[in-house]
Amino acid sequence: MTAASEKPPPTFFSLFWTFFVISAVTIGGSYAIIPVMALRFTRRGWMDEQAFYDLFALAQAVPGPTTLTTAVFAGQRLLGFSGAAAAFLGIMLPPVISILLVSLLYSAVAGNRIVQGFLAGSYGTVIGLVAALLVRMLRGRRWRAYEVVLSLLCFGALLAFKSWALPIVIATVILVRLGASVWKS
Amino acid sequence: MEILSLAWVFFKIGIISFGGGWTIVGIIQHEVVARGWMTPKTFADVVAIAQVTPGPVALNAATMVGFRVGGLSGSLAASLAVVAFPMLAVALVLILIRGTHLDEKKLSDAFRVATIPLIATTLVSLGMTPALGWHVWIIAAASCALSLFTKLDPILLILGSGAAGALITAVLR
Repeated sequence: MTAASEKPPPTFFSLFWTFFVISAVTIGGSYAIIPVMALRFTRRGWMDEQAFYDLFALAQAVPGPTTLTTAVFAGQRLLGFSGAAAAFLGIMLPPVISILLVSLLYSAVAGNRIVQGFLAGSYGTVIGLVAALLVRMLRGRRWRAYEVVLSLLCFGALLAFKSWALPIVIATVILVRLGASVWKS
Repeated sequence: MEILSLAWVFFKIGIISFGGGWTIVGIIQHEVVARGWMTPKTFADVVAIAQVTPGPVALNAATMVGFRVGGLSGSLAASLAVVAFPMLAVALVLILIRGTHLDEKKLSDAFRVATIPLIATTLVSLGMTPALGWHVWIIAAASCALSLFTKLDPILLILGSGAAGALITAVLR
């Protein structure tokens, strides 16, 4: 008997509460939140770290917030459909509730100069962080020629026809996938 | 009707929301401003707020836009719509990986290439917000450098620059 197997198995409520707390207190996107989730899961003996990060990798192949999709995959793995439902509710409720509260507050304080100054400053950092993310993603892969061409075409098309983002992106994914097959053969 | 178009717009946005929330913020801005739901200035506030509140940026932005357009029901419609397709995709993946071994790596690699132009589009959209003060650009450049060359927590960066922004506004204007 290992120590892990003596810990209580997850229930709908314990899963919901775990995700709820993580979602409520962690600001800053999936790269901040995923390690916290992994830690909680391994400490409770629900899942080992490798299994959890495999689900995280799988979640990145699916659209949607990675925090949410990783949690739903993990919930499903542990407790089937009710586990997935517990994860969905636990992750979704804190941001939706807090945004509703903030939205109510926003109308009251939007005109305040200091609040505006704070938001403008944070907005500057958002621009900087997105630029840094882009730099990291550009550096982080070995580019093949057709990938560069398709990325530039996709970027140009998105800027020119933003309303057509969905078909443009789907076409790019298909072309990159085709390119990968042609490249190999 | 407004609720229906909210749900439809955010459902479509949800389909291309892979690779983290920043891929679709530029597209959300376009949809929201073109429909007259928000001014670019208000949307800039939404983006800043979405980043400092818990939860995925795209979900927070959807909830907040929904609230401005259609109150409580608008916010629920937008937030559920933006995750509707991702949840369908999760269900589909769970069905697919039950039997065969899905070649998830090749597929996600193709998505990753498409992610980069989307993030670049978001960057352009964020930068084109009118009437950004000079200090916003200095903060942007400094944050970019700090993020690339130090291990500083992004949250500290955001809160610190917010405080700096408030201070600059209080002193200068």
